[in-house]
Amino acid sequence: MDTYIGMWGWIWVVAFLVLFIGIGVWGMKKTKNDEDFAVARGAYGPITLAFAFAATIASGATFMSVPGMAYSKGFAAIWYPATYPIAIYVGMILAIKLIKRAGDKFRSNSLPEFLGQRYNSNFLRIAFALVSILLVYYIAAQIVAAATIFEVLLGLNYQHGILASVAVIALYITMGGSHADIMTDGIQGVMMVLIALIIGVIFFMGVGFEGTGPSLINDALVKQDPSLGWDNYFKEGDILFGSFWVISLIFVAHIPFAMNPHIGKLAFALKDPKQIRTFMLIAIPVGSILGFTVLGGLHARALFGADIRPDAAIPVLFTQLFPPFFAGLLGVGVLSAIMSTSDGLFISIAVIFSNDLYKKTFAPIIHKHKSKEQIEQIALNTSRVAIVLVGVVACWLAWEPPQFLAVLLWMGVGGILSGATGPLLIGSLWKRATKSGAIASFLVGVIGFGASVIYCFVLKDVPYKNPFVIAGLSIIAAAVTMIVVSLLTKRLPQAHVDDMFGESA
Amino acid sequence: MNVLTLMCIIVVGYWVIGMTYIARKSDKDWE
Repeated sequence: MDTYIGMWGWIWVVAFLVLFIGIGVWGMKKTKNDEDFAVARGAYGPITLAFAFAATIASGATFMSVPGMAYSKGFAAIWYPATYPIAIYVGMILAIKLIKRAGDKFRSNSLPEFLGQRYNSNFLRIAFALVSILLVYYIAAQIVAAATIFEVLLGLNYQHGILASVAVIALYITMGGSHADIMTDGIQGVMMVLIALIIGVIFFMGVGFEGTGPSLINDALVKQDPSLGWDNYFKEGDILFGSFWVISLIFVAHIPFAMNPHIGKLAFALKDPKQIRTFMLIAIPVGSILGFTVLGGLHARALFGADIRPDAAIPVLFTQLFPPFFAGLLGVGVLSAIMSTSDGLFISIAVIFSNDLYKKTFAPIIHKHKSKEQIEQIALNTSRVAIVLVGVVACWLAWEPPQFLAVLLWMGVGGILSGATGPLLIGSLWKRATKSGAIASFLVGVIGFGASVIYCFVLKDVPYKNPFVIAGLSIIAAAVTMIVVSLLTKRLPQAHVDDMFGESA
Repeated sequence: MNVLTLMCIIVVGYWVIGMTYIARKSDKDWE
């Protein structure tokens, strides 16, 4: 099926890339030190940040993999986008107050640094920072998605698409740091919400069919394969949507999702903790609306049958239903989803090197005679060099996408989330959480997840090769460990807990 | 009830419950 949209695609892509690079130049003027670069502390209001937050969570998966799943598996796939935003925002509501308040008070430049401060633990800061480097696989997966969009809509060679994607993101992030990240994400978030709404509206109108209403789409799907229809709550035998318990574990796996370093750090950019309420009130519906993209996968399958590549369901839907001018704009929206996640990931990994490892770990040893200003300048330069290096590694990983890229991606994300659940999520709610409990929980989460992935995906041919399930079970184990070990071990000094929570504990 | 209707109920219910919970908290609760 021809999806090439020619000139209009190029016009929109070039216009938006120029806009993003312009924002990078603007961000560079606002970036005076490594704190500006890492978190843009207190620089943005709740509306910009709510859209930036939703855009950072939504990724290439939102516009490609999730509709692709619905395209292949039918209505049973809508469990995923309907429930995962609930889990993510519940987790965010639970943790954001402490992360914002104490993070600002102790001037944390990253979640690993905040974790170290929460428990007075260098081990937790360094260990969480090192595990977070695995986010480079997340970037690689986004770059693969971006190159695919360039290829499908613009006819660009796949490898050229990789180079173009990395070059643009690395350029505006190297210049503008978190300011460029948040401003571009805010704009991209608005675009993505509009596109998701369009996908929802054309689905419920049954555009492309004679008549109106989603039942037309259901009828067309049932005609192709009865298991795709909406009377199937679950898809029997499917590793993702086969049963209620599998879906429950997907939900659990997403509760700590906002504890990913590139997402949780956005809380530091909010002007005032009082604005958390407005921020959440906007972020909740915005996050859910982005899940409407799943309906595009069902729509594409109903209209075009099983002959297109699942991941290309949305681009195909756009190019077949809309004129090139509009399809090009929608294609840019999909690119926005990919770039808005990648840029935050670039910064987070760069800050791990510049802040968590150099400034907080090595500088006190190797640069103890340098002034604070000199160290800050070295940290800022380290961030910028790290972004270039991360870009090179991401290109290398994406160049010939490995067969198990999704597994490697979730090995990073699942490990980070399993490790963060106890120390960050429970530790944000529970004053009784101890340093030993946090370390034990972190190790159980990370090692448990890593060992399970190796066992299930490498050593044994198990029936359920589902990283969400492994992450969900590891998160539960880490949470139980956090509670049990904390109850059995020495409390943190009362003055430190009071300092963190801002009141008498 | 089909799965699409169920998901619509879940999502709208989440919006209503979640946003009511947050809206009822005062600004000071977030400080």
